[in-house]
Amino acid sequence: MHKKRVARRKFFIFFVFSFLLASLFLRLCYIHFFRSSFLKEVANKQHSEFIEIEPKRGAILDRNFSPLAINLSADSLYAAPKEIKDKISAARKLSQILNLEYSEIVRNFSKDKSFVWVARKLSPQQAQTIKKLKIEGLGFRKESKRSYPNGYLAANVLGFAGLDNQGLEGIELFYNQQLAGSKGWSIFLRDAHQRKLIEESVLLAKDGYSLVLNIDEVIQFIAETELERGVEKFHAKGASIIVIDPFTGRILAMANRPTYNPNTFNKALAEQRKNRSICDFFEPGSVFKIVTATAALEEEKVKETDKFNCENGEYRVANHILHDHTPHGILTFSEVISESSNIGTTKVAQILGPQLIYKYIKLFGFGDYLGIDLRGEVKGVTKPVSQWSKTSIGAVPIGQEVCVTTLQLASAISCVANGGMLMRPFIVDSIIDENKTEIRKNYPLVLRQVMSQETAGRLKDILVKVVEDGTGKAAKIDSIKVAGKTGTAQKVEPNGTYSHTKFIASFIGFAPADNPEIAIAISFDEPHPYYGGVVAGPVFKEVASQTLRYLRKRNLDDEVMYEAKRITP
Amino acid sequence: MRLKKAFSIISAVNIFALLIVYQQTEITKYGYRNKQKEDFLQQLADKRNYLKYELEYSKSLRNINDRLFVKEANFNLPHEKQVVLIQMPSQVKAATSLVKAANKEQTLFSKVFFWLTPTAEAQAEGGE
Repeated sequence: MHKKRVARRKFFIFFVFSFLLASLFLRLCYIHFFRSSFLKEVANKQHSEFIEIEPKRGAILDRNFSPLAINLSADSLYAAPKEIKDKISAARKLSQILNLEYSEIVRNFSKDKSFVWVARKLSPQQAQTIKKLKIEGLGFRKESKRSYPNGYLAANVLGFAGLDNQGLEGIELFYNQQLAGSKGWSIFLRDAHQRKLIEESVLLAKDGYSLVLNIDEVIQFIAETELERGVEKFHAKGASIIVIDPFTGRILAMANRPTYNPNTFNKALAEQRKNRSICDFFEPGSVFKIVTATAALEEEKVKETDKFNCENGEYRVANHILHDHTPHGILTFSEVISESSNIGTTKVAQILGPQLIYKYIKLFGFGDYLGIDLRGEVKGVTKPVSQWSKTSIGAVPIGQEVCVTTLQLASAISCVANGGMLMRPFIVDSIIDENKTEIRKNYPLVLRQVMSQETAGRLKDILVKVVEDGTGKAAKIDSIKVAGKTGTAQKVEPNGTYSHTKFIASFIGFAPADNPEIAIAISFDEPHPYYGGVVAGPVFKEVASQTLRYLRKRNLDDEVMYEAKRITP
Repeated sequence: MRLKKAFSIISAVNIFALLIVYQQTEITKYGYRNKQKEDFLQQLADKRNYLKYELEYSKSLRNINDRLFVKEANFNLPHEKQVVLIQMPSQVKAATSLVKAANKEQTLFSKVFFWLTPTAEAQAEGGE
């Protein structure tokens, strides 16, 4: 009996334990076969972290490899609102340091989120000050910040990259794909405090390529300084200047006023950010006479010594009286251009006829895109002959009823300088990787032949006379022959009439005339006084002379060293 | 006998398990150490980049222009025919003064007995 009871108890205990074991086993099988993937996911989420690796944005360098745009690591401040104990005090302290609205910070702290940005990409001083406060619930994350060590230098060309390191204007935008690179990713093991530990797998980010520009920092600085001086001296509303290599189309400098500091692009107005050299067009006035002169010489309709009666400053074209700024009598064709006689030019144009004038306007690239590697280039405005009125023959050849950009003027004068070729202007010379290996190179491109070399030579001689004896005397440089043309154009009022108080003053030229190294186009918007020769001419002189000295200085280094050795005792 | 065998197997398994745990802890420890080093290197790299930026900013023409008030000073690139006198380094100065001393008028004694009195020969060292 007793034995049976013991056996039954043994069996019962055995059964219970077997049952428990079987349950455990079944539970194990259930977890292993049916819940493993879900639980693995939960474990992975807890233990691992997937992060995107931001690629380094490529740098932008000038032609001497001086950096114009680079990346810095910057701390961005975030908050975990639930973890901040004293939100009011924290918000007050942060608003003082960050210069943000107190109410905005408080609003951020009141959000029902575990993560909110407070401020992105702080300066090192701001980050340091906030770290010292040791406010619980605040944290920092490293982000890449685009920085421009030269400030406003070439700002309108470079553009800027936004908070997420995407190009928004200028070169930063046009070449964004090459600069940006591609993101990578990494899976990290993390600990109980969410700190990253061991990298499990990684796909490295592909850093962006760097750009080497044709822009020369020194020439850009010279151009910007002299342009700034001109704007201040003549109280102009705005101005732009382009320095270009006439034989290749390489843009050595491009500057505008007003401008801005790309490090604080969010504080800049649209007026300051736009690149007016390529996206503002205006009636060019007398600088446009090079088109008429080219047509006349190339078509052999006129010779330099042919005489024209400039009607003592008044000439009727259809129902309009044309005036010269200074009355002239009989002038040779050469003098018509050098003295910038509107009447003389109109008479030349009447010999040529509208069709030929329009042909050369289009040959020079006016009314078309030149294809510069920047966004926002405008074509300007040219009227086809079918839309010309009876007075247009007295307007278009002297630079009215046609709208051009400073870039088009720079390309046009380059054409004369280089023997008649219209070159495509371009900013970027090459794209390189981090080892300075060239990935892509941009080469000069001839768009078309506008005139023969002979015509270019003849026109050049006439333009030299503009500076030696004509309206461009203020652009004369000692011991260097300069060729150029002045322009003073009335602006159009809102009611459609020409203003008597608002002008565009411009000068286009190249130097040295016999062996051109640079061509420059300058325009001033509403200067006082308003004559191109008076306002833009001196700026051309300063920029050209300093630029030529700089370009020659590179070759003079050896010479100077020799001189120094020779004269030291 | 059986118990001994079972005991040794269990011990072996335990030791093996402990080794694995030790390995994992070491991996984690090295992970933390590496992370610390990484953070430190990253800080140095960031500092370097920032200093590079400061350097570029300081030597930028725009900054020099603003600091030297160029508008008033009207600084300009030198004309190509300007002669620049370069300050001599101190070693060269010392050497040239020796040459001058050696080139002073010799006494009759030294002229006659030149082979007894060695003349000072200055040798300027170094390049430019």
